[in-house]
Amino acid sequence: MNDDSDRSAGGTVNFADRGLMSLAYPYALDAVSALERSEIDTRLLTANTETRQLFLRTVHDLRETMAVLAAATMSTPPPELRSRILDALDCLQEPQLATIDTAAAASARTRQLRWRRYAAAAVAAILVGLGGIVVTQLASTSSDADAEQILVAPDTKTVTTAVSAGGTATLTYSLQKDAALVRFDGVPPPASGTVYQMWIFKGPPQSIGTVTAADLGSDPRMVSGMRGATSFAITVEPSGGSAAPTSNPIAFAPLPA
Amino acid sequence: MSDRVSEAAYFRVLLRRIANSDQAAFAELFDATSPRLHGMVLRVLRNPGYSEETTQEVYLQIWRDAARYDADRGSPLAWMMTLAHRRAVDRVRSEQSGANREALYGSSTYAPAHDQVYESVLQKSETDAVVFCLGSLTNTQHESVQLAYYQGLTYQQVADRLGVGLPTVKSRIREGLIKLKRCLGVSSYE
Repeated sequence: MNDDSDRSAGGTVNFADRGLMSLAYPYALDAVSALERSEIDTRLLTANTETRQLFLRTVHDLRETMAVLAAATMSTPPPELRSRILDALDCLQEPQLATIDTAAAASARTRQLRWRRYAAAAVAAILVGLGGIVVTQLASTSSDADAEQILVAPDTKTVTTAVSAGGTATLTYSLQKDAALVRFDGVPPPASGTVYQMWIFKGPPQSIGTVTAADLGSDPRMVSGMRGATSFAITVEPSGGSAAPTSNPIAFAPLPA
Repeated sequence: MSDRVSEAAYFRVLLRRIANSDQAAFAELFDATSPRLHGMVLRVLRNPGYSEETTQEVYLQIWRDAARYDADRGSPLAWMMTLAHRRAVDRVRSEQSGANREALYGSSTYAPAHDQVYESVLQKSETDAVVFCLGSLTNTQHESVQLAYYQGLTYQQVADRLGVGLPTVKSRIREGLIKLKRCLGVSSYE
């Protein structure tokens, strides 16, 4: 195990990433401000895989340590709290991962060919570097674990593509984990009565969700169903989204496996 | 150490059942973990009312998100304590804004090692190990870790509170945690 990640990883962690590694300790203790946390999350997104994995491994080890430490501060909660919590379960809905619109592919036949041609032609498309990324909040408390799961996957990759309406869309994805984080930077809200709809290709386009004006500017969006995807696109669709794309993409990026 | 491994395996089974909406499994997990989870929350928040609210939020989150727990990322207890600590710290920071911080919570650095004695036979040895290992930290390491973890201070605030530089605090926290981790024999990746 690497306790001492900065030093022991000297060969693989580049100089710029070393400062990042030293933040793993305060990060694991939640001893960073919300702003620092999101800055660190953003740096993790752009750090090399080696650094990212070392960072998260250090964090996980520390979380195990702090969990063991809990044996020293035990305090049994009052019995009323137990009843209150158990009573509340019935009111809660069951958990769901981000949903994917599986009906999407069904009625797409007429458009499939055109889309496939487009996809093929656009393979050489706009893959913007990660240069000027804006600091955005990576994840809220409740979805943090999932964002992390994507970040730590051995096959995690990030692509950023220009959106023709303005701004960029950044997709951090793990095909293995079957999930992605999508972030929009500087993208204007969709025109009234329309939404942006995100698609992936593994054959015919499949919807992975719609984006309304209200969704822009919030935390990166978690989507699932990425396994096998070879490219990503965004179209403008009527409110509520479409079963298959009805217009040409305003953004497109191939997704290297 | 094998106690930890078997406990983690047991909690994983409970979480799988909870993911299928098994309320009995949830009650079992609550009974097995709430003294530790609530105790930590209480230590951070110090206010019983806030602490009960936070503990409740965390357990309901565990109920909702049990299906998302990923064994690759560590033990169930670490996952739960991480959720709980983050919520407790968010709460303590929002409650303790500015001037009333000191008034509400005082500036004492050390709290007693045991808030309340609750020990099963199995947990007794763990508790002893933790007390022993905490004792292996230098006073300054112990103080920095306490301020950061149990008082919800950022490392910048720890530096301000102690009147030392940021690099000093960083290295105290880091050295202290590495020592603790080794002493407790913790590794999530073995």
